Amino acid sequence: MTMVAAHPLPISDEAAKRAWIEQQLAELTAEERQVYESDAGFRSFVDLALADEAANPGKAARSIAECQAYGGDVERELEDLATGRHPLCR
Amino acid sequence: MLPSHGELLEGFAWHCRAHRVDMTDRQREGAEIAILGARRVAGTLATDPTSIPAAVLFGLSLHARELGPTWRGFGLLVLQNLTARTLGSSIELDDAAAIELHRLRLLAARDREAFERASDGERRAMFEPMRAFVASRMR
Repeated sequence: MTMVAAHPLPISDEAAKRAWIEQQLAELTAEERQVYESDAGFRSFVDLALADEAANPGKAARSIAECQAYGGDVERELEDLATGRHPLCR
Repeated sequence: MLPSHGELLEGFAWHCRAHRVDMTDRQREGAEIAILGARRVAGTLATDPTSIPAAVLFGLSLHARELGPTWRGFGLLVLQNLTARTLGSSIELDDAAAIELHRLRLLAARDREAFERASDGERRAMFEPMRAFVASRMR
């Protein structure tokens, strides 16, 4: 069955995303490349992560920055989630 | 089937490198032990294949501290990847659901010591909210 997106992106955008993903894959280290080619679980993880980042540029970096800002203070994060001050609530 | 230790560890190392999160050798060792622990916990909590992704996420959340600032994104990717690869399903998370799932993960991280002291039955009870929530978001 052919899936057709309800709101397909312009071809150029899809092409740009594909090119970016290909570039990231080309930058795998030799060791990562070996695992990527031999381990289906790692390969699907990397493919999913790259597709997610291509669809949501900067998402992972924001998540990392937010976690760094809390510095492992779980109670403060829980309190901010409860009061709507957490970055995820914005 | 549980994801292999190597799959999780390689995925974590790549995720950190791809996002320029530097780790010392000691932090790397800590992450490796955390992933080992997370996998072991998941093996005891998952009662059927459909609960494995949530059990792995729960195990990783218990070890959030050792996984450093990539723990939130890494865990979500593991959840989505396992759900897609082993169950052929996906996890649907709107903004409210993403907040609730993160809250459940934070509770697991906060209650790690209690979890370690708990009986098997108590451990299952602690895992149940995350299992049920993930199941309700599976499509």
